[in-house]
Formats: sequence, C-alpha cells, structure tokens
Amino acid sequence: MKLVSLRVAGIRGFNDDQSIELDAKLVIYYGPNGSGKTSIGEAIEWLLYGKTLKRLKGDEISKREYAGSYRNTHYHGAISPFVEAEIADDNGKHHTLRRELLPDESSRLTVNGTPASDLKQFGIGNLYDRPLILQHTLQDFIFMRPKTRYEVLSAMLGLEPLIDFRNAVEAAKTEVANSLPNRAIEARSRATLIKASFAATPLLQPVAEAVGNGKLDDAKKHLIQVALGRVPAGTAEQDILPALHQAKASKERARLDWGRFSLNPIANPDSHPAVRELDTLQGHLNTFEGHVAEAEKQVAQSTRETAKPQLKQFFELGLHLINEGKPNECPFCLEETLTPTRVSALRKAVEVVPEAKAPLASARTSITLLQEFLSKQWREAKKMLPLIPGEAERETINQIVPGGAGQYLSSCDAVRQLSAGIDDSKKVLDESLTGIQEALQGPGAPDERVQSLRDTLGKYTAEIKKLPGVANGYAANYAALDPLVKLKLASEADVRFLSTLVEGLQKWRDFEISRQIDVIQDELQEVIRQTRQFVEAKQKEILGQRDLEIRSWYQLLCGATSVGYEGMTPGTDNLELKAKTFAKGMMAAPNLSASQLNCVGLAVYLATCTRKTSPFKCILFDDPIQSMDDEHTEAFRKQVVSKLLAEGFQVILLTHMDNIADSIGSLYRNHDPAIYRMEEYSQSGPSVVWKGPEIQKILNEIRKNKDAANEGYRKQAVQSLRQFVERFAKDLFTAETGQPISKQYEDKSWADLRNLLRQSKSFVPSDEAILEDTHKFTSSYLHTDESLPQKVPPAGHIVPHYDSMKLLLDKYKAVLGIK
Amino acid sequence: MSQNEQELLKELKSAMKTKFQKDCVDAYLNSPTQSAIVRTTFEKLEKALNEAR
Repeated sequence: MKLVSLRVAGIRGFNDDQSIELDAKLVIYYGPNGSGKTSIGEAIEWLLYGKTLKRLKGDEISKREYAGSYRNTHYHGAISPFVEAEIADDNGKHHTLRRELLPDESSRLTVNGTPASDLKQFGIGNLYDRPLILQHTLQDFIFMRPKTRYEVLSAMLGLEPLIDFRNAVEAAKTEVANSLPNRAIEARSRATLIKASFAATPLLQPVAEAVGNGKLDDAKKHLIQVALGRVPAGTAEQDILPALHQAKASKERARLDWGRFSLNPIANPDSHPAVRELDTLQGHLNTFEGHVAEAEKQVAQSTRETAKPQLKQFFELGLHLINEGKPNECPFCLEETLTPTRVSALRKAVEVVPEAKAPLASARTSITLLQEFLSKQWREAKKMLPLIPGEAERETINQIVPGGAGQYLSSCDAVRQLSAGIDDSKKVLDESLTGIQEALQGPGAPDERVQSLRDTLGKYTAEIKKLPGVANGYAANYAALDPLVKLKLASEADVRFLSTLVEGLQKWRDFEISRQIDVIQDELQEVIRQTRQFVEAKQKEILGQRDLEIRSWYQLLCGATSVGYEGMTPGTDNLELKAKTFAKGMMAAPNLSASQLNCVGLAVYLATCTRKTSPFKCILFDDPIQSMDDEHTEAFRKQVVSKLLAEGFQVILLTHMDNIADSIGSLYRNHDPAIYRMEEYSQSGPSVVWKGPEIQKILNEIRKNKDAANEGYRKQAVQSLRQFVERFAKDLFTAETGQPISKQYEDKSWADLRNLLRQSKSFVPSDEAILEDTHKFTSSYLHTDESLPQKVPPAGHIVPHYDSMKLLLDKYKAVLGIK
Repeated sequence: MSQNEQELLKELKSAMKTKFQKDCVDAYLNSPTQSAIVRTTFEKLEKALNEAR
C-alpha cells in the first residue's frame, strides 16, 4: 500500500480543508518547527488506526488534559473533522479511506464511501505495525518494559490470525461444553457415577483407572474378567449379563444380618448381676416378712377389742356413706340414729391396732424396694439372653446351611421358652407385689397373699437360675454354626459388587459416549495447544529473522562500532535489548547514547515496516534525525533512504532541516522527488508551497480530482486538464527555443497551441492528436453555453485523459528539464 | 482474510495431527468465526453418538 494524497480538516494542526500531496516515490515536506509537519504524520496515524500513540500515552498521564485533542481548536467547519486519504493497493488500484471525528471522540470510517469497522482488508490494524516513524515515538520501543516490548513486537509479527483462531477455538470449546445434546449429558453423568462405583470397589479400581485413562477396551476386558469369576464356569461372554443377574438374585436371597444374633458365653454365672441380685431380692422379702410378723405380733398382744373383719368392713362402708349435709342420718336405714358419740365409737371400732402401724409402714417400704430391685434385676436378666432369628431369618439360615442348623435353632427355641417363662413368672410376681401394696394401704394387716409371695418369688428365681445354662448353650451352638453361615452369607458388599458389575456392563455405551465427548474436547484442546506451539515457534523464527533485519538496519546507520546495539534476547514472555561495549555485553536502554538509541528505534521500525508481510510499501519519517549526530544523519541520508527507494518503498520525509531536504532531494533526483516547503503556521493550518515544476503540480491537481464524487472537484480536474495542455505546449516551446511565451498565446485556441507545438523540434507529431483529443474533451465542458446539456464529465471520463497526459509528461521530462 | 493470513493458517493446518484438527482449521479458513468450529465439532460428535448407539 502506498499513499497518494491526503485531505485533512479540523484534525490536529489542520483547521481548513487542506490537501497534502504524497504521490511520488520520494516526498519531502520541510519547514521550521511548528509549521505543522507532525500533524501530517498524526493525521495519517489517526486515519489508519482511529487513535495515535501520542494520545494513548497522554491518556495514561491525564485523560482530562488530553481530552478533545484530536480536534483542531479553531475548527468550526460545517462537517465533522476528517482525514481522507487516497491510497494505492499492491495492484495499483486506488481506494479512498476516510475517517470522521465524532463529538465523543470516536470515529466513523469509510472505505470507498462504504462504512467499515476497520482496515483489515488492507492488512492494517495493529497500532504498532505502522508505516510511520515519528520522532516522538521513535524510542517508545526501547523504553518499554521487556514484557510489553515482547507483546508489542509479537503483535507486529503479523500472527494475529493465529491468535484469533486460537481464541475462536477456546470460545468454541466452552460453547460445545455448554451446549452438549441431552443424551450426551445424561450418558456422561451416568458414566461418572458408574466410574465412581468402580473406583470405590478395590477389585474394580483398575477398570476405573483404565476408563479414566481413556483405555475403554482394556477397561471392558478387565470388567469381563472379573464378571466371569462371579458366574458359573464356562459361561459364554454374551451370556455374562443374564448369569450375573442370576448370581445377584441368589446373593440377594442370602442376605442376613447374622452378627446381631451373636452371644458371648457367660464365664461366671454366679457373679452376673442378674443372678447375684436374686439374693438381694430374697433379702428384701425377708425384711418384709419380718415387718409383717412384727405387726401381727403387736395385734396379737393388743388388749383392744377389735371388731370382726366383716363387721369392720361394714362400719368402714357406713362411715364413707355418711351424708355430710345430714351427719345424724344413718346411711343404711336413713333414720337420724347417729350421734357424734356413736360415730366416734364406730371410727374406733374400725381402727387397726396402733402399735402395728410402724411395722406395717416398714413392710410397705420393704415391698417398694423389692419391686424396684425386681425391675432392675429383670432387665439385667434379659440382657443375658441373645436376640434370636425370626421366622424369615430361620428360613434364610436353613437355606444357607441346609440341615446344619438344628442344634442352633433348638437352642433358639430354648431361649425363647426361657424368656417367656421369665416374663410370665415376673408378671405373676408383679401382680402379687401390687396386691400386697394395695393390702398394706388398708387399715388391717396384709392377708394370706403375703404368704404366697415367697412361692411366687421362688418360681421367678428358679427361672432366672436357668438363664446361664440356656444362654451358654445358645452361645456354643451359635459359635459352632458361625463359620458355616459366614462362609455362605451374602453381604451388602457382595450384592453391591454384583450390582456394579451388572450396571457397568449394561451401561457400557455410556462410557463410549462419554469417551467420545472427552476425545472431542481433548482434540479441541490439542488444536489450541498446537496453535499455541505453532505461534511460539513462529514468534521465535520471526523474532530471529526480525533481529537480523534490525541489526542490518542498525549496521547501515552506525556501521561497525565497538560500542553499540548487539541484538534482541527473547525470553518466554519478555524481550531484552542487548548492547556491547567492545567485547563486553550490556543492556542497550540504559547504556547507549541518545543518538545510538535513536538508531536502534529507527532500526526496529524500519525492520517492521520493510518486512515481507507488511501491508505497507510506504514509510513516513517525521524528523528522524533530530537527535542524531552527523555520522548517523549521513548514514540515514545516503544508506537508509537509498535502500528503501531501491526496494520500491515510497519515502515520505518531514524535516525541519532545509539542507537535509535539499540534499536528499538532490541526491535522489532520479526518483522524481516531490518537494514542498511548509511556510509559517497560521490559524487556518499549515501552509504548503509546491517546490516542483508547475506542470507537475497541475498534473497532481488532475489526479487528485479526476475521480471525485463531487462534481465541483471533477470540474476543477477538467480545468486542470486544459491548463496542462496549455502549459505543456508553452513549456515545451520555452524549453526548446529559450524564448518566453508571447502574450498572444495566453488562453488561446487549439490552433494557436498546435502552432507552438510544431515549432518545438523534439515534439513528436503523432503526440499532437493526443493533446488535441484532451483539449477537445475539456472544451466540451468548459463552454459557457447554457443551452448545452452537460457541464461536468461523469466520473471515470477524466481518467484516460489524465493517464495520457501523465505518459506525455514522462516522455518529455528531459526536454522540459524536469528532474 | 488476506492471502498472507490464509497462508499462515494453511501452514498451521499442516502442523495439525488429526483429521478433525485439520477440519477445524479448514472450517475457520472458510468462515473465520467461532461458530464454524462449533459446527464442525458438533458434526463429529453427532457421528460419534450415532456410532455408539
């Protein structure tokens, strides 16, 4: 891409709409500092990237200070500030790029009048990959952090498409993971659960590992091997699943919580609390009987007459029934026969012997203690008995050890019978104790029930004493049967193991689906990895190449020196710039002189701009030699510019040094330099003066306007065409004859101009028709006759005339004395 | 996408090992978007799911 021309209004130093001509191999704008040269570079930079490095750095310092600085302070144009450039692509096709500045400092870009979001179609996008070498950014690269330097240079390498591709794959990987089909998600979630079951089962852990490693064939092989060990020998592989189902059903039938029926033998039955406390119970009974005997003795020794028991009961009943409202009324005959004296006598008649009250109270205490100890002792006794199997469990035991559990089951029966006997005798004992308690609450002494208490306790004691024997018998039988049962018993783990095998084989496809998902995701990850690796390799390769190029440009500027730039040292994510002082290495940034650093900066940008894959075939220098010493300046003037022009680059040089402009213009006159002087800057913007031949300037005017959409510009192009024909004829005449043009030839007809041409010996007669054709073309549009229909040629009609005139000028350049 | 960019991606494609990986680069070359890669991935996944049935 080369720059042809530039139009700017309202941006940076440009206020009024101005054109900057750039259509030459070597373009030089020179003028004093402050004449607006840098604004040309900044206008191009803003057009290409929508921002400038200067502004980016400024924003980092103070956004407020730099806000609004793209717009020219004096600009009050009717349209938005803009930069427009005509560029020529590598095929020579011209395009118009235009960027307008919007009030919020964003911009609107168009390419050939069509809105565009960027200039990637021309390979333009990275701010650091630029055809601009501006004085104020020359050393940016040198004073960056090594990491930033690495990133910037990598970005300048043109590897963005690879980075974009990698980013797209990364995003795609996430999208794929988040939008898998339902059946895939379900299969994967089932596979995860089954794999967890494998991992939790020691025998199946290798299966889980193989699945985890993606070796599904190995995993399945191992799983089948394990399964074959759980089904009858000789089972074919295709029959494994039904055989496993059968084995699982069989195990499920053989499930029994056998351990809960276990019982340890009682080593010392006499010291067992349940047995030992029988004596305590007996002691309480003895105490009770003692108290009762004492009470009876007191009654027997008493001189008091006591009523007969039946009579006492009759009296007690009567005393209960006395109506409190009618205290004198007999409750039986309902006559008022009762007096307080009689009632008192009746109460005395039903009273027990007072001396017997104390032993009876002690008897009640004894019986309460007896009851409490009985409960405690009974609980202890029950602990001696084992839990015995129910009917279903007995059946399971018989299935597990057919015909081998007889003795054990008999001992279970013995336990059950004894347990029932103990419970029954305790029940009788409890009733007896309750009856005695009630009897002791009454006024008299306990009746004959006291007598039977001893017998009841005796029966209970007898039952309890059977306990150790029955329990130990049970324990012995359990112990004898235990190994047999355990041998065949199916545990929860066994059943779970078989279930895992069955589930694993049944749902093996879930693993296959899950694996496919993993494979695809791994593949995407691999694409990302490969791309990253490729980018890194490319970076190293290109950085190495770029370093050679940088060193080559540096050599060109500085020659072979003892102290100077040595090269780049790229790390994983940083880039150091090395220098040397004689044979010793050092860092470039802190140790080289300002002039040397300028040369390094120039070399870096030159290497970037001139790389094979650069979209640019033009380079703009803005005072590149400002900080250089004479030696480096000379090298730039002679070596760098020469190499760039030789390689076909368009060189645009902005400089404040008149002598440099002159010397470069003179040195490269064979390249038809276009030299402009920038006068003192005014409020309307830079003032540019053409320093080349007038006819060249006219041709530039035609080129600029020949394809303009605006009719006014096209009309101007037609006028310039006419001026060109006239100027050509006159200049040729003057150049040939050395005579000035007579006044008679001002604004003359074609016949007059032809006359001039024919007087020039070098003029080839066949070229006359070309000029005549263009003259005629302009006449049809420059007429003043309002009756004629068209005053401006359509777009495209001027171009052939421009091309012809350009060829003609090239042909007669030597005659016209144009360098 | 410019000629240079296409060349670079083609070079990357040749560094890829499997057909699927190369397909991904091809899909991106034809349409440089994330969805082009997603589409290629789902095509492969669908095929794999059908084979696992």
